[in-house]
Amino acid sequence: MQRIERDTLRGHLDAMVLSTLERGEAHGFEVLRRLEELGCGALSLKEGTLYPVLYRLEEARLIRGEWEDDTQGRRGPRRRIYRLTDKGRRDLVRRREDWSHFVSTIGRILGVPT
Amino acid sequence: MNPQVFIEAIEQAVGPVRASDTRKDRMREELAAHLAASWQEEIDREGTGSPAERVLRRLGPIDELTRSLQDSVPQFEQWMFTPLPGASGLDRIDRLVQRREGETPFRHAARITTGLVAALAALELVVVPLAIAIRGRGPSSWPTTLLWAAASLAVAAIGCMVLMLLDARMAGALQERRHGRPRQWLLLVFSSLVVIGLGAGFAVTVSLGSRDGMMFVQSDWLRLGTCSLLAPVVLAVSARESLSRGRRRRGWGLAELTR
Repeated sequence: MQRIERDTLRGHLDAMVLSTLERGEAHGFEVLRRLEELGCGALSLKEGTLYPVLYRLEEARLIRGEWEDDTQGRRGPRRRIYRLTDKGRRDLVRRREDWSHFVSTIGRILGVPT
Repeated sequence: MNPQVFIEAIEQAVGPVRASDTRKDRMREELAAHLAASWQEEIDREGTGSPAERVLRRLGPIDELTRSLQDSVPQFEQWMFTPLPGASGLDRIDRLVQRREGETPFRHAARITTGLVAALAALELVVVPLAIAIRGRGPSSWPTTLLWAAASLAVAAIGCMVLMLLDARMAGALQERRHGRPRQWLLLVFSSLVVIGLGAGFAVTVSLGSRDGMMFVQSDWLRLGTCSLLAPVVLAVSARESLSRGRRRRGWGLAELTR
């Protein structure tokens, strides 16, 4: 399968992260795992790139992060759990509409059925 | 695994970012959690290089990570935390007053108190002769002045010790989440009362020096009393800072993975 590289992903990562969090709260590593799973291994993402995206989204109040209270016996550092806010949910709907519009417009030009 | 490899990588990535310590600590701790999870995955996998090398490869180039972390910081904060000339000197002082590896809270408090009392004594040795020189005459009673100087040092020493021990206890209470919020609040109220009491004690001591009108006046009472009302805020902020420093010192729990 052809890998989708970082430069192609740039600009869409925010929406993809919001979308993974729509499935339920998750920490950074889990978000990456979901992205990989949904991308069926086609996404080639440097893991470090996720965190600035999470911070940006949190700064914009589209997601909310909280340190986990209970590590449930797991050793090692605390994890920060992120969840989608109402504002984030509304933003995701808008981004999905934008994406559909983009794909249908470009698809028509390229002659790709959408 | 040697957690130092990851701690160094995190520091290389986050250290140069112009942001508040709170934000940078959050970045550090979250990257530590990520590397730990990534490492747990890699030790069960086959691949080229050691698991730690593979983890760092997955993370991506450090300088690129620094840049993107920097971009996630609001502009105003970036501007606020742009290093000023001489900032490295402040960092050195900061490192000097931080709790050292293996140092107990009591020893740490004693070390800082000793330094503070020495600095205050040196300051009094400069300020008192200067005040005499400016006024053109000495105090009416030298024994009272000397007693006041000694008393202010003693109050400062006791205050510093008590404050630092309370701070360590508060940081401990914040960390031990099993005790819950009510206990933390109770400790904060108790600590604040102690600090307000210390403020009042200090105000009484310094106002003793005003008998001959040399340096302090009775209105200092009001100022110091008002300042001590800020105690709960200062204590809470300080305890959170101590907690962050403690986590940083312990490598955010990365070392626990090797046990």
